[in-house]
Amino acid sequence: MKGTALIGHELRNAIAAIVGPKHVTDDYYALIPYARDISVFPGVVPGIVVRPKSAEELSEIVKLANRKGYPITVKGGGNGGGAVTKGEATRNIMIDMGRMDKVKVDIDNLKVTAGAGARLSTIDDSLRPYGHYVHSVIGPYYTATAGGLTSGIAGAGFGKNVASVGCNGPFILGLKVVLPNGDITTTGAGPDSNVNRKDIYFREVTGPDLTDLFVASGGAFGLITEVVYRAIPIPKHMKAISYVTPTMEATWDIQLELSARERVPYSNTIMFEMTNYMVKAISGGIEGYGAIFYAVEGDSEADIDNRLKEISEVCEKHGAVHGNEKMNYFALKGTTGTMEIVREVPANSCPFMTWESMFPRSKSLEFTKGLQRAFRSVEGHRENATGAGLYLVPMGHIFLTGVTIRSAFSTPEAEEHLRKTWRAGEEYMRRVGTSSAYAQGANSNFIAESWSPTHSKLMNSIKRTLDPNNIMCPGLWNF
Amino acid sequence: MLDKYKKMVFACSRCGMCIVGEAGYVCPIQVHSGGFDQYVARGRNQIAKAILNGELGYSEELMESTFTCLGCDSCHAQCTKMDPLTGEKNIIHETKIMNALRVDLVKAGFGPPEALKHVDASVHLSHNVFGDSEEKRALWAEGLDLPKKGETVYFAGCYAAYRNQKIAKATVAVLNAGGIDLAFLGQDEWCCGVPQLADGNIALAEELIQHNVEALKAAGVKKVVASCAGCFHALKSEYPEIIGSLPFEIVHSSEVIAELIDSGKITLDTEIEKTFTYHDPCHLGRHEKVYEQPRKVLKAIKGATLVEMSRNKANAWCCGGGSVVATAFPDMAGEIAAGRVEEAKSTAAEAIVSACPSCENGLSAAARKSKMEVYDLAVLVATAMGIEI
Repeated sequence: MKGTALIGHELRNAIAAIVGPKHVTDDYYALIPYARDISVFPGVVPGIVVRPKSAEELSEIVKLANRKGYPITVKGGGNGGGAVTKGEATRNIMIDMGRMDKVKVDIDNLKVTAGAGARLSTIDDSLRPYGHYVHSVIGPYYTATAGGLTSGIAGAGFGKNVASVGCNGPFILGLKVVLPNGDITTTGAGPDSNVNRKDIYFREVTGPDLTDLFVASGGAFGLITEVVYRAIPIPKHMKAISYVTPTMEATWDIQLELSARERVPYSNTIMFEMTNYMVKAISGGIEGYGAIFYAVEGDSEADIDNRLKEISEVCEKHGAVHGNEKMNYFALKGTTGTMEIVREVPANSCPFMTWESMFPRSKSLEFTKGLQRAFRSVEGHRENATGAGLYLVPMGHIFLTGVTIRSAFSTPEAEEHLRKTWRAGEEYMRRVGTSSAYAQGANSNFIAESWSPTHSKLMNSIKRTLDPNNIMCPGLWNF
Repeated sequence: MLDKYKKMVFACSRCGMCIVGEAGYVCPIQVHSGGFDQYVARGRNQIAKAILNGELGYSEELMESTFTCLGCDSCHAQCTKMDPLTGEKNIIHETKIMNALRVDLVKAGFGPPEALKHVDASVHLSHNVFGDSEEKRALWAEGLDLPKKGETVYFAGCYAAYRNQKIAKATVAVLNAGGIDLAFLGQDEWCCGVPQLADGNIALAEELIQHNVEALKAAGVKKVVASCAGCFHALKSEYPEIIGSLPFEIVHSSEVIAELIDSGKITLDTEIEKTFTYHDPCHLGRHEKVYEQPRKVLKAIKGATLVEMSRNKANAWCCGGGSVVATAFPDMAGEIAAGRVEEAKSTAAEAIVSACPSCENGLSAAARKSKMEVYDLAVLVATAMGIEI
């Protein structure tokens, strides 16, 4: 590959005519950064990268690709943990959505429209002056894009208030999508959708709505260029509390008991193993197994205090001890996705998320322990665990059980170890009858293998109808 | 040379914190280019990694992305990469990686861009970036009777010595008024080497560094005061990395002026009723963490009001002149500077103040059309002290 002289992509000039020469490149060296996202899987060097500024430009590119038979792959923030879409190396037209980054706030109708390339932080920045926020993932706050999150993770993930208001999917009011034939469509009761009105006010208006077809599809059915979110008022008050637990069982018992209540007392919670370097660093050396952080939000301070008391009683009953001030601070900021945590926890690979334990139950603990055992069974775990990546088990973000692997120094050895670990985790998950939540690239194929035959047949049928030439992100979901 | 930074290159997890940060977009080059990943740290690191892995050779093609890095350190300020074994934070220094890549690229026969070759030729010949005669370097100090030897030496730098002499004169006048006796190396002050550290000409940089250190030692210096942020950063951080620790202290003039105000040795009581915004020079701010002293100085001016641009301190937007980009890619640098001036205009400010002659130069050019005034801090302080320059 060294010094490879490339002849350039056949469609370069035609694409340049659509977006302007400044926004297209097929220089080999410039394609290298587009070969991979943050995952540890081997990359696929595309044949050309293009940065369209609008759905209209993208539509023209897609039509061109269809006419000429070139595959299209897509990049948002580059935070996909499950490898990039395979497509066809050197022929792929990779769409970098970065220029579609506009954010338009319509506070009267409690909605915000974000271009696919807009980062969560910029969406938040736009809404903050109005005292609102968007219910979306808190992790890769500066790096993940609206389009990437919506198309890349199931239900567009879970936000800081998942325990009290659920996953993010329902807060997505509608999408603008470029279909594989180049048509531009709007979902969610917006223009050209099931209600041909000017604006989107409700998602649940009437009739079949195609939003969910595109959410978490990875781009297989069309490329999301715009996401319309519900804007949510920022609560007036927020307080936090933290605990160090004696055992993993105690951690789980606490969460089980609190979550079973008619009214869950916390707004947000995160739990970590003490082996997590981050928790260790902030706990100031308090002895114990795990750490649980709670934040309680609301408009009444008295109510918040009562809820904190309720949490304390349960934690202390199970032998947990109060965290220090630093931990309480983390609880306040960390569970709510404000800057402090996202700067400490930048984009990372969270491949073993599963919805199994979104609401905890005894099986969740069993699952988590099984997953830990699977990882530890990988040869060289003891030697490589720290050097190759950092395992956070359980990655108890809200009640999500999973594991985060942060690639540390991406030496070939470290990456190979991470890939082996990934495979061990996936095999375990399928053995126990579940699948991981990340839905990009290689990982989508694992998930598709978990589909029922009926679902698989329907999905393949939809794909063939929308994309008969299979040009849109080929290779996702085993399409 | 890239080998030296292998650990940093390989540590990059491609997360993209170098693209958008707490104040929006992080990299001026990304915003003012096609925006592809080769213009931001994570992409540059993947290219560097491919080179280190033997998957990509040096070529002419690499020059544009390699030489457009401003070295502004904005990506470094946002990067959160931590060494999991030691807990050390912020371990990826993109400016160092890019400078090393430039050295290797030039060694391989590619680059630097033509305009930089001219700068290097000038520096080689007459020890200043403008190619002016060596004799002219000391013209600004005529009549000031500055000794060549002394415990405190003022290092003027090429810009203040050759292009904006008011800055040098003002700095000396203000410090003298505060009771500080300054010496000046005269023609023995050579270019600090910052342009060569950034354009891949490491041999010339080392020659300049060696000379300046010897000249300063010969002057019997204990403290060097620089008014140029670039010279200050070079002397303080780059020199020791190349030739080991120095037997003298390096300070920026803004730090000294702030001290003089604190100790009551100078007062800025000539009223200047104006609203200023402060532009943090990258070499002074992000590279050396001098954020508060210049602001303290501005606030001490009678009648002056300081307002902040939305991107300030660690989030400040580069003026576009960093790492010789203004020389090699003047149009792009001009666009970046114009953007910074627009940002200043969006505040209530009537004037921009900076503490680097190079920033002052770039911003002044960009501000002409918009009628925004641009001042160097030392010049403004002199005015506020009633000193005529």
